[in-house]
Amino acid sequence: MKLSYIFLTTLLVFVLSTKAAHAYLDPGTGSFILQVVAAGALGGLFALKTFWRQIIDFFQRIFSKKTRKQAPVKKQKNAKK
Amino acid sequence: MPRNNLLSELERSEIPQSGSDDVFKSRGTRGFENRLGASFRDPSGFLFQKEGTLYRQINKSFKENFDLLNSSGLYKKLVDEDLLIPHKEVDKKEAVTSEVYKVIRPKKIPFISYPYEWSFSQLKDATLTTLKIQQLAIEHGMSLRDASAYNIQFLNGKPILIDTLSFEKYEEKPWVAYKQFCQHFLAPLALMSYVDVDLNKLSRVNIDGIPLPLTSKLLPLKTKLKPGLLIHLHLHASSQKRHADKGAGIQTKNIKLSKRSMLGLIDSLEGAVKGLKWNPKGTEWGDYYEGNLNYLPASLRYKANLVEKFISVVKPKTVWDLGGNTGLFSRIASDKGIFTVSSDIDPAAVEKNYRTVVGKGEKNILPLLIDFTNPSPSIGWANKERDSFLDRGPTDVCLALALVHHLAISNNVPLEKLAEFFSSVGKHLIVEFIPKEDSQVQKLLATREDIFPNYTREGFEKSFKTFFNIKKTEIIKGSKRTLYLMVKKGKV
Repeated sequence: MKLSYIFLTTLLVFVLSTKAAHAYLDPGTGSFILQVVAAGALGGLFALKTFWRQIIDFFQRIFSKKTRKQAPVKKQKNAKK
Repeated sequence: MPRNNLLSELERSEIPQSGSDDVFKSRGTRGFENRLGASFRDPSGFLFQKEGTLYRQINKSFKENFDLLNSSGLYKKLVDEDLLIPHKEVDKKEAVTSEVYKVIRPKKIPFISYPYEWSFSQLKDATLTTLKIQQLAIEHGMSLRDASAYNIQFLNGKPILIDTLSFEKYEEKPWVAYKQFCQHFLAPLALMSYVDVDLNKLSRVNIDGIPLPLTSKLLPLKTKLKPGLLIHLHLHASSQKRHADKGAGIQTKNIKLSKRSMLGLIDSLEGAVKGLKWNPKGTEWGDYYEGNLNYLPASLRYKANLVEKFISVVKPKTVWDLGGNTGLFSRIASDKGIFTVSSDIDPAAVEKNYRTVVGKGEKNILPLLIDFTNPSPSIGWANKERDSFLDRGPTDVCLALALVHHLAISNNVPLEKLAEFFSSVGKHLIVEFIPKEDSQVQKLLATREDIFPNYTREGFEKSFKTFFNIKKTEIIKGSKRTLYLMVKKGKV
């Protein structure tokens, strides 16, 4: 009686702790580990890239403002899909 | 069962799909109604056929994610950008099982093709499309559950995602589809770019993408100097090998991966893919239409006019151009708005053909890589997951220009067997017969014994009359070649 109780509890815990069936794909242990290890560094690089792009955009806007003072600005219509 | 009676208004207005109902009956395993042979791994839902129409059943277990796809605005965004196949919700009573939450009817793809039939740029575009979809998904609070190359098809000349159930709620955890992405997309592209373009065929043999340890072994050392390939292919392969026996030893379920890391990962993959290039040089068929003695430009134009005339007689809905090279004659049909599959054995020709499709924004032509002496077979589970090329037919018109002599002489296929083959491919046949006096055939006979006594115009017509009725016969002016329009005998 006690044994079956333990077994049932273990089974229940196992079942409850399993993620929902949606993740039907096996991500693969090796792939998982590599991704976690690499993604941290890649995330940092990406943040730097985005930050750098923002800086470049900022300076481009300033520069184009200076040239815009000489030539009239043409209004661009946003093309709707 | 005549298909026209069962088509709805919506389907009549869509591009018609060539294919007989017999094909649909042969799909799916017993007890699974008319489920598609490839649609069984995912418990969230599946595709099935009913009376010639394709439906997708969405199961109750997937309710939350499916509702989020709509409420987050992701569905609308992807459909507006032509990145996801649109669908219509239909009555639940169409469902196959009681687990149903909803049943939808996706827009039909005119011709299903597989990654091992694509040229380099087709695969590259499919890859970049997948990454773009993942980026947009994350912006809308969702993420791709899988990254299979078979979830991408070509519609109106561009790659599109056909698996509407591919999206789950985004949580800050590692991307579950990372391994599949590398195997289905990054590995074949890298191998095609750095080793040999023919290595795409490995995708046909490996149903879930090319294994990374094999990829790593085949790639040259210099690819280890490319950070993207080093991380996602070489180190990835090492990691797989090292942890192959560990299984569930490591608690992987609660590891967090920040959004910034995820975006960094996708960005890195995108950079790695964009860096892969392949530019076809002149190959065996690359300069086909130049320097061909028996082929003055005038006769080329004459042949094109004849082909156009024959096509106007038949008025087909679909055309398959077999051995279409860069699609010169395929475009006679596709420019008229007829959906045309333009296939060839030469990867360079298919690549050039596809680049023209992209450059001109063409919508009705699909270039594919097919060897007609060994066309794509049925593969996968029970050999029913991915259809053979021939099972995806028949087509209305089969175009076989400058092809017969390659099959009959270079490949020793008897003329009657050729006729039998063509009769299973299309209801009508536009075929060119090139006699032995022609310089192209002379070239083929130059290095071998002439064992083809029946290879004459009379022999050709006799063999083909077994399977076809010859409707039109025209000599191509400026050459010794003959163009025929034939109709398959019996019920068409």
